[in-house]
Amino acid sequence: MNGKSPAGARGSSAAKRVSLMAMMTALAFVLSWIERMFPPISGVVPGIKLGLANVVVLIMLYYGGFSQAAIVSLVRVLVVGFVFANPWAMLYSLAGGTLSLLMMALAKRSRLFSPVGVSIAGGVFHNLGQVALAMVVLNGPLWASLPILLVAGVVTGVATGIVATGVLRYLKALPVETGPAPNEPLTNESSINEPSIKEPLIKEPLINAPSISREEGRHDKEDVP
Amino acid sequence: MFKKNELLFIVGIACVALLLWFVSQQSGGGGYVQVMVDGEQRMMLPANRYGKYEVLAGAGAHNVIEISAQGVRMVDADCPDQWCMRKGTVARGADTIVCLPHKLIVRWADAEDSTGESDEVDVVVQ
Repeated sequence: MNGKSPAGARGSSAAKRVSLMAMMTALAFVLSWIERMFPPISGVVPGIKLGLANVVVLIMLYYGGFSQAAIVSLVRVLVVGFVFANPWAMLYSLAGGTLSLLMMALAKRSRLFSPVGVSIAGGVFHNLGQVALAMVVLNGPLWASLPILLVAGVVTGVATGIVATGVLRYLKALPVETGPAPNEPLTNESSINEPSIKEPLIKEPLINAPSISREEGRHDKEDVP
Repeated sequence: MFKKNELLFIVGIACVALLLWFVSQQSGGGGYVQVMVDGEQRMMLPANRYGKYEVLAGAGAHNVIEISAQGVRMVDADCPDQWCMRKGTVARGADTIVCLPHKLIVRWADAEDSTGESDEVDVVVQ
């Protein structure tokens, strides 16, 4: 959270940071819930999930940095575990989620990949983490599961990576909308977001998205002073 | 859509997956279904011995596997998460069924994989 990412500037206010993380955790929770409603893809690729919640963790990694992503990921695993699953499933999730996040942070730091590549690393190592835990717990060989889980990790990683890329594009445009708030000195944000982003947003015929962000902007004004 | 690094990454993972698949086909694709509980062999059944078999993995822990022409599957389990049953039928040499709460593994094995601790069947379910 040392403000290395362009979004680090958004963490300037603690209240803002906490509410953002809470919102993202809630979103991840809902996505996990939605995913649970789909019947398992039994027979074809058993035990493989899309990992919709990973979209949120990936976004937080880029938008808020490693520690915020870690908190969102951990709280989601715990809440989903207590509400829907059982201790064993929670432990699986925790192993997969932890390794996945660590490897995504590494992949991001290496600067070799776009968010899609980082997401692939996340998907692959999520599955590897789960298998590793299972091998330790079961004290037995599970090598036969690895090939399909590796391939599945790539496929789900690409899918969640593309979604996250799309969302990040909009999120990066948001500070421009909240930017004109007069009593909030925008030190980093204004320098990072070029004015060129501002234009299409104003021209944008979309009514919904900008109006939401304008409300957020008003909110900020009330909160900050 | 992908950067060059990402394509290399994907190709690398695909190669590892292919290699592992090839190795597992070579070694574990034999004609036996091996059931292990906490690292110890509990059953070693020939793939053509069709039927349902109950595995008693411990106190209050029971699983029923079924061997058929299609492969092996978990037909019943009293574990809390039921992932093993969701797994469906696993064709010969393909994959492993895991019941984490019961520390149970159902895998395809060769005759030489047998540790010979217990070859007999716990319970045959009709």
